[in-house]
Amino acid sequence: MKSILNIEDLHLEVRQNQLANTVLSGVDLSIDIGEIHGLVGDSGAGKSMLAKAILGILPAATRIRKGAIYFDGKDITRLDRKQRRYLASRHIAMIPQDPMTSLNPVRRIGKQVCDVLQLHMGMDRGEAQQETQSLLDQVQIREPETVMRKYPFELSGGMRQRVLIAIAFSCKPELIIADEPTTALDVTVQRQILQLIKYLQMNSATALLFISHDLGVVAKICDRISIMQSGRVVECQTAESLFDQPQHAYTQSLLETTSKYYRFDRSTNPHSETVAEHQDHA
Amino acid sequence: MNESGRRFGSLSSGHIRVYLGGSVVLLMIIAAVFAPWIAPHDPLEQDLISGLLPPFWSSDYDSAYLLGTDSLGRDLLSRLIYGARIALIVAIVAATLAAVLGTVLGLLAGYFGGLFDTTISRMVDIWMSFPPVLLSIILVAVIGTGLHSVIIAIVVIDWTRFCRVVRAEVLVQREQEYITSAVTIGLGRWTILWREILPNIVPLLITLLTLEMGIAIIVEAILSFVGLSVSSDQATWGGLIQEGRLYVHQAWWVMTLPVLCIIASVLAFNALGDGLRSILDPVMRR
Repeated sequence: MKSILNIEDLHLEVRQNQLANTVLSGVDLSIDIGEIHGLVGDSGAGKSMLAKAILGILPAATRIRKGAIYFDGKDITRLDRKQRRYLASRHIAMIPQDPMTSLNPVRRIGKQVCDVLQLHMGMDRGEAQQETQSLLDQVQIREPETVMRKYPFELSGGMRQRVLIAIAFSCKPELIIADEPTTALDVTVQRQILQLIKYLQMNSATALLFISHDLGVVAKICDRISIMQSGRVVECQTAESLFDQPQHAYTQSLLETTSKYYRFDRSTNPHSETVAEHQDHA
Repeated sequence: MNESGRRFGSLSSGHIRVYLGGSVVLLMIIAAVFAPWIAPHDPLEQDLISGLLPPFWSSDYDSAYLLGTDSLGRDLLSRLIYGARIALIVAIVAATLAAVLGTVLGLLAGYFGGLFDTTISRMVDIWMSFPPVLLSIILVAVIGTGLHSVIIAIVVIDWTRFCRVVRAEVLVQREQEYITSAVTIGLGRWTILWREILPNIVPLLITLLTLEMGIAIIVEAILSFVGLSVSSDQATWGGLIQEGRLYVHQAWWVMTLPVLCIIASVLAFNALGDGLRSILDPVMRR
């Protein structure tokens, strides 16, 4: 299958007081069109830095020393700031880690969703408002008209994450990067959010890079999984074969610490549960 | 919506402060705007026979002069009402201009950083190391007396208050996740500054602005006390204090009443600002 994102030998370093700390040392990663690709690793392995590199929001002291990020065949590290900004914002979206702080606290929910639509889909205010309403409906927020008029602090964490998911999917991007999208949520809400992401992804042509430190969560929704350790991708396999035949020692130790529940769940019904529940909803 | 927090009866403490402060400020605005109709006498009309008359609570009180008269027999109440005019104009115009100047520079310094930030921040440091009262007196002495000079002096001195606080707050907001989200969505720098960051510092600005209005009233009083404000034929609170000072042993009220006016108005502005901030801030509304 053709890949939408191709990272080749990416080296990244942070310079601090004349010292260069290597963050990524030769990452290779490719994401196919329409696939859900899991990225698992310890904290500090460089998962979030990789995400930021793709999105073009690296901190000021960081630079790409070597390598390339091909998005849709173009090396986006070579684009100028403006082109990069446009490409990343129009064609790559993000579902952030912490829904509590990722919405502007003093602006109404509706306006924050409308912003994206007006900016990228060329809609006027009225069209954007209507589209916002249907987007919120798609992420299963009840009474979207009421929610649009609310401020973020009036919504729960799960609701806010739904809004952020709606924003991510709003412009039908080719790639969505979800950086630990369920880490800050309750376990019960986590499951709903995972199902929602999976459901929306299946109904669009979007590829998804799902970053997590929890192999169990990733196993539930991903087609392929890459394992990262200290700035490198050490293993990349389909979810099934990764669980059956882990190649790398680090993967094996990760698997051992993952709860039995998820492994059982994975082997008996890979996707059926998520699909079934959402069909009920629809 | 959860509306807990400290409450007095059915009102939050924020609302109480807004109503109390707001009503005093409103009273002041009414007095200032309708001064010619409200004031019982012309503030400049002298009546040398009835000089230094006591206010209404005294036994020698003259019913024509509710709050008594000054040494030249001018009606104190009317002079206080006309004094509110000057105080209010200075408070509103000077504080607003200082806020605009300081906020613009603070926003730019905080958001764009770099050389621009360094230049502005050092300027603020140097500015703030001057004694403000001395600086304002020198400024007015150089550019000449008059209402506009007083306003210019206050703006030139006090923009630094806004600049410093706004810059610090922008630095905090800039690192928030929602700004990162706005960047990945593709909003431009100016849009982010104007639409994402500015609304988040508005509650802070309102507090600062109303505090500054109080400060402006005090500075105007100081300047008119030393005779560097508007011309002496106009009644100002500072001017009244200056005149009353000479007769404080015979007629203490001539000096005390304008002092009370200043205290009341400054307190009212501060209460209003503080109350508004706690009501307007959606995070604190929880």
